[in-house]
Amino acid sequence: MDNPLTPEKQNMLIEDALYTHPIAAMPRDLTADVMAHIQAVPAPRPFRLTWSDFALSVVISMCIGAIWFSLNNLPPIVVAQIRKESILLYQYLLVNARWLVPLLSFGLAGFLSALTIPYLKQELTKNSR
Amino acid sequence: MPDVPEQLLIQRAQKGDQEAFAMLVTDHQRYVYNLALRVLKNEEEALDLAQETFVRAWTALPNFRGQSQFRTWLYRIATNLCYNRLPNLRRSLNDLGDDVIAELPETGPALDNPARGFESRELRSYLYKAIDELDENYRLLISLRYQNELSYDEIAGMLNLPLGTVKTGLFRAKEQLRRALETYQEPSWTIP
Repeated sequence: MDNPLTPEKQNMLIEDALYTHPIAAMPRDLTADVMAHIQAVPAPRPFRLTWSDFALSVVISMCIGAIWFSLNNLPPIVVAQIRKESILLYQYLLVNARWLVPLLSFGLAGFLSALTIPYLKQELTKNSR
Repeated sequence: MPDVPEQLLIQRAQKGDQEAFAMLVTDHQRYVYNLALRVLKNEEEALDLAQETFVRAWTALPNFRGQSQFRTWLYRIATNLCYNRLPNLRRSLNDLGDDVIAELPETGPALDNPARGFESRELRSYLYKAIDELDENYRLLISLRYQNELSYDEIAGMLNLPLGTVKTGLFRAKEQLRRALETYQEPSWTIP
């Protein structure tokens, strides 16, 4: 037996087969199942910047701006004074309250970790459902 | 409900209208299911994936900005879910490279006579079987290109692959089919 198909004919057959490869019928309608799942999901909320988001961002940016402005416009003698006072305060803490600096550092780390607890709890509840 | 333009349905669904979204599911489920079926080759898994695609689409709908067709957007979600189920699929697509320099023509379906060129029903079935037996990355590309009639650019954009890689993948898939065709022996063919 010999295969009489020329390359052109092979191409044509392959293209035809690719285009006519039948599409399967749906074994069942998915709409009801999908809608049942969706009932449990809260309705999608389009992204919207609320007034409180706006106010908060204005306050934060004004604070940052004020700090930046102050630092750039203070007389050098005042800047030097602040630096000296802060070094003295740090040294005072190191001598008289050695425990305070690590406590503050670990306290901050603990506080930031605690912020994730509600989210983790929510995820655990979702997964166990 | 009478025929409502898809754009309107999408806008209503984006505002939380579940009835509008149900109509979109009804319209598109067959295509999403078929894409999943071609890639996963398992009816139940394909149904499950199609369902998950629509649930994800519902939650992500506010982010749909209409830059692509809704159908293409659904395929993108379905494909990402396929990546989760077939961990090698993404890598095998990336590994295709883009060494096919020859330009592949953007052919359209030659459906003026679908049976044209087929020697027999057996040959047609043989080719369908060969298509089903291609690797999963080729099946995905072929399904997007021929079943869903996306352009090379659309496929490249959807899969986040270079255009050359898409063309290479389709070219190699056809080469595999050509090799399969060369080994085919029709009972009616005679020795010259």
